Formats: sequence, C-alpha cells, structure tokens
Amino acid sequence: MAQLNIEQASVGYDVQGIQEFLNNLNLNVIDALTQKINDSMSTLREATDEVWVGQAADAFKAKLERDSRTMIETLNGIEDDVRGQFAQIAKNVDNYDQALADDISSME
Amino acid sequence: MSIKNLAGNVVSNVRHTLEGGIQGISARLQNLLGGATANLQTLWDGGFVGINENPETLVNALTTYINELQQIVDGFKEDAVIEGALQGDAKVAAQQYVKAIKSLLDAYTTTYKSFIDLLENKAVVSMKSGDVENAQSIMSDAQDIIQDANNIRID
Repeated sequence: MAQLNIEQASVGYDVQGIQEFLNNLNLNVIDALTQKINDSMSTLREATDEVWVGQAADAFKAKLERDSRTMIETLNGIEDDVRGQFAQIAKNVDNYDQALADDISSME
Repeated sequence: MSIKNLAGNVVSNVRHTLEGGIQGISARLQNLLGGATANLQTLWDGGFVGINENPETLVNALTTYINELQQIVDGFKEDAVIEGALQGDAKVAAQQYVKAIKSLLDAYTTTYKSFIDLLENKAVVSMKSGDVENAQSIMSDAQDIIQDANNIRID
C-alpha cells in the first residue's frame, strides 16, 4: 500500500503530527517560557536590591511577581485550550469518518 | 447516494465542525488574552525614589531576561511542524495559537523595555543629583507616554 500523507488534502490532520506539534509547543515554548520566568525572578529581585531601596523598589518587585504570575497562568490556559480544541477536532473527524465507513458498508 | 457524494458530505461536515471550532478558539483566546495583555501592558508609574544614580545592574538584568524570552519564541520553528501535520482550518487553528503566545510575550516585554528606556533616559540620575526641573520635565514626558500607551486598545 502506498505511503499516505495529508499534503494533498484540503481538510485533515495527522494524528502523530498533531501530537508532535503539541509536544513541541509545550516543551519548546510554553514550558521553556514558564521555566525561564520562574528561574529569573530571584535574579531580577537581586538586581533590583543592588541598585534600589525603599517603597518604590518594593512596589517594582511586586509588579515583577504579579506580571510573572499573569504570564504563567495565561500560558497554561493557552496550552489547556489548544489541547482541548485539537482533541475535539480529532473526535469530530473520527466520528464523521466512522459514519462514512458505516454508510459504505451498508451499501455493499 | 454515491460514495463520492457521501465523501463530499463528510468533508462538508468536517469543514463545518472545524470552522465552528476555529470560531470558538478565537473567542476563547480573546477572552484569555484580553485581561492578561491589559495588565501586562500597564507601564511603570511608581517613581524611582531610592534608586542609585547608575542602575546598570538592573538595566542589564532586565535586558538579558527579555532577550532570553524572545529567543525561546523565535527559536520555535512551528511552520515546519504545522506544514507536515495539519491542513486547512486545523492549520489555521495551530497558527492562531502560536500567534497568541507571541502576542502575549510582546505585551510582557514591551512593558519592561519601556521601563528600561526610562532608566536609560537618566530621569533617575537627574532626580538624584538635585536637578529637579530637568527631572520633572523628563518624568512629565514619560507620564504622557505612559498615559498614551495605556489608552491604546489591544486587538
């Protein structure tokens, strides 16, 4: 049987390819960004303490923490959303594919 | 009904489902990103009381941090991955997610780049040295920029 690929398809997805895309997105971008943000907070606080003291400095450090939490929470939300959406797309395609197969079988 | 017609119906139904999914994705992403980007783009207006005349350490640390974040996103060669795995509306969906992440990062780094600009404009140095009039002029200009930026809608 000839090797199948989706390059000539107008609508479709490759299960393994989707998984690879999601893994790449997760590991190489979302996880990497989250790790970098978490790892950098102490460095940025120390850099702030080296050159800045007082209430304004404390307020700036609080902003750093707040912004880092916003970033991480939003990135995690994006990841959850993309996984959920592709799971739903895959499920719908599988359902229609099965319906087509059932219809074809009934015609034979 | 011919098999060709049946196949056509499947494609039509799948496309309708994918289009519905894409619309949902866009709306959900908009909700997810809307509040986050608004908060992240609030520029610093807390003043610089107590800061050294030469805050180079902080400038360098922030610059390095922003550049490292940008490198992570720039290094993600999503086009090659998407091209081989997805077609049609599913490809569009994947590209939307990547765009959402890049937009989020832009909102985050813009804030701190602007903060670095304020430090490097020596507004802090002027205040520390007692050059009050010059410092007030610089800070007034900075506040105008901050206000204009905060008024910009994020699409």
